[in-house]
Amino acid sequence: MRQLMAVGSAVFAVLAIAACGGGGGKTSSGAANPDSVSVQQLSGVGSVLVDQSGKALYTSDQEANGKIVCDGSCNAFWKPLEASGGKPSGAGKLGEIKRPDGTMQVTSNGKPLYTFSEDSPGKVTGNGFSDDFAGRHFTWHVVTSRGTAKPAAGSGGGGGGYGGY
Amino acid sequence: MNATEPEYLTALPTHAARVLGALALLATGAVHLQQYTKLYKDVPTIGTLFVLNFAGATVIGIGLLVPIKRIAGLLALGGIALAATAFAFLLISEHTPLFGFMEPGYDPPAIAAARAAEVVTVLSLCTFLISKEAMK
Repeated sequence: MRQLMAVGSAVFAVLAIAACGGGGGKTSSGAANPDSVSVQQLSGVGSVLVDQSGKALYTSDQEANGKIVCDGSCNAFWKPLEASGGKPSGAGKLGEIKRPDGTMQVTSNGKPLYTFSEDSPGKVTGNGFSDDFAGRHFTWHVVTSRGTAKPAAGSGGGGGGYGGY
Repeated sequence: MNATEPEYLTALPTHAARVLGALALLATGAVHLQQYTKLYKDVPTIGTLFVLNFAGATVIGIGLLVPIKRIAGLLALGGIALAATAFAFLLISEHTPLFGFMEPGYDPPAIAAARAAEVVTVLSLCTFLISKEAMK
């Protein structure tokens, strides 16, 4: 009986740990003015375009021609900055582009803008990341007031080498 | 084994290795479930593998905690295989796309936790199997 209780406690602990971490990826690209973009000084990367919640905005090298390639599972990690319907306002040469699902996404200099699901406002963790979704390769950079930023030496980006699951 | 040594003393390290391995395996599954709900549920194949990892780790982990002597060795082998496979798959996906997905290290603390749990699982369950054989 004691053994069964111990096993039950272990299972409960496992589920509790999992539940605590769940749902963290539900980031929002904004509620009131989702397409308002501003410039913020962030450590390590300089003056960076941010959304209305203060999260850094990224573009992918593979979407430099303005064509949307990041969709499906890619959007679990990289969230499109949705356009609210009006003209996007704020810093940079902003515009809009139609996504494959019909929604509108804000662009900067023609490149679609994204937030990174693991970033928090004022913190950049995905600059320089290289990843693949459905066999499509992506390289991501934060958008600075002067263009895109190279990842700082020793910063998070670059692809691979972090450890394991 | 020392003939004058009480049996419970010689069995203690074996028992401890089995329990530690089981707990580390449950932790491996928990991290995979947490990462599935947080990030990977929309990633084809990889997301499914994360759920299978959690399910397998939970079943084997519980099986190891409930001392079923007849299949303890088989469960330990299963736990070692599961943890080693998860470790290897991440290592591969960090360097080249695996099932179309390449992992740049989205969540370093979770990655470190999972890798530590997998190493402890393999070492503990190997120790369990070796000491179990030595006791025969």
